[in-house]
Amino acid sequence: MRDVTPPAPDFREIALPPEASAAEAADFARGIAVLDRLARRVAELARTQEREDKQ
Amino acid sequence: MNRLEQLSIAQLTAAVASREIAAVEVTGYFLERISRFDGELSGYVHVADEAALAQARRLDARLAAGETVGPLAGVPISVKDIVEVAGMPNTGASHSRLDRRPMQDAPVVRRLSEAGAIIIGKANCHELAFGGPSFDLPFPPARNPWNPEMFPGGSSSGSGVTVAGGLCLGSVATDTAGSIRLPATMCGMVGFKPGFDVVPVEGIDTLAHSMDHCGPIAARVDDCRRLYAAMSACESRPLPVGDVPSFAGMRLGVSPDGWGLGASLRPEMATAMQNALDLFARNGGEIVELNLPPLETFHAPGAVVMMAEIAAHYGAEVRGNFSAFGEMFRGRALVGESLAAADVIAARKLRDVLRKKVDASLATVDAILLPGALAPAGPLKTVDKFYFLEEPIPNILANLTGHSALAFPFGKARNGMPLGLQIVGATGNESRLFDIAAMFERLDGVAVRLPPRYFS
Repeated sequence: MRDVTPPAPDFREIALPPEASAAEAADFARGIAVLDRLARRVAELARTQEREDKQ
Repeated sequence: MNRLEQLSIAQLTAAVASREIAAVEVTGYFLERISRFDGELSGYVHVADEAALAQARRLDARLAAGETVGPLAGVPISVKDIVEVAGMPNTGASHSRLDRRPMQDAPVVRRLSEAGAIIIGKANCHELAFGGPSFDLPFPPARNPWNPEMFPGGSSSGSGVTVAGGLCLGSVATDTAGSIRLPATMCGMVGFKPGFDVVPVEGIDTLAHSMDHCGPIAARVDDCRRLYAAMSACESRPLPVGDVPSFAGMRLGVSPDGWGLGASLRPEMATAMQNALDLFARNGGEIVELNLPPLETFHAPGAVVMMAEIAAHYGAEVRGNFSAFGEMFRGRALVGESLAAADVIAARKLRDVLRKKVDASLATVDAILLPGALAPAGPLKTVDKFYFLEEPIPNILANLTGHSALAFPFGKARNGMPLGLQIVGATGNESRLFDIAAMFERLDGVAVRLPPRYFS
């Protein structure tokens, strides 16, 4: 299997370019919030796994 | 010979190879169906009339000269519009790539052509395999042949639709988080995502490079197996079936708590899963409860890896040429820029752990059963931009772990739309997945397998 996932950019506030409508920007913010929830879940799962590995 | 769309690939190739029907007649027949029906389905973004007829004529000439032809002789197929076919547009259904016209075939297309398949056109898809269904792209979204108001799945929407509409007998599709299996499920077709690197992805637009796969969609399990054999250059022989079909000797793994999906798995899908298990056990199969984590444990790292890779691949281009992309694509493509590097690294580590857990489970069973989707197809116009992040989509498991997965129809929803399941198996054991799905196909007792408007 290829294992070439590049590291993502460090967290920063991101926004759409100015040509995006307000509705599109709001939807984008919702997408970031959903993805952030998944990223926090990954961190939690990783900590659990780390504890299991140490046992 | 009439109603060619109702033939299996085995039947059609036998007729062409024996010169009962000419490949050029077959091609003309399907081109006529496309001109009659595709206006309402939007399954194709390009129909290769002359090129397809020329390819068919060459095949007929070889047959007339007594040459041996390949196992897909005369089979009309569509190719997702992110896969290179020499001389045909390759737009990715994107305003950003309307002028793209590759000079050579992707290796997977070359393999199919060498096997005798006729490339009849380019299949519609979500923008660059990620942005859709959308109404702001160069082409209208593909429509589900079971009900044109319903979502046909994606991103290989046109691949599912062209097969389910009887506008070809198979399609080349791609799958990063379910884009072969979701349209197969929503359109009542069979779709196969092989393991990593089994079918070459060169000449195909990258989406998330560690999760991208290429595979076939077809109307029947055996059709799908034959296409996969040519695409992978692997031999895949069906299990000999006796007079009494049976699952005897087969072991199917299940999650004891329904993958932790609870109410996310809609009742009709849950019922289809249970009916499949009952059918499997009633016909001699053994069901094994596996010690696997809930689906959300796969979904979270899968989504993080995928979204990070997509943002890394497309982010700069989308920001530099924002209006050339549809709203659905650009929002989805950029949202991964918000991820921290530490999250992606953690997701990659979890990926290794989860892959090993699935490997360990597959050492004890032939396949693992999952729903094809959480719900039957809903209205096309209401698909949410981030639906695949909001709920733990079943398909992403096999993209994250790299295992092969076969989606097949099983049952119908109350609204008449198809339901579907998928089975995940070890790479190298693909044949077993096809054998199991073929047995379900024989035993499930569904009377209407293909959309009546296009097949009756």
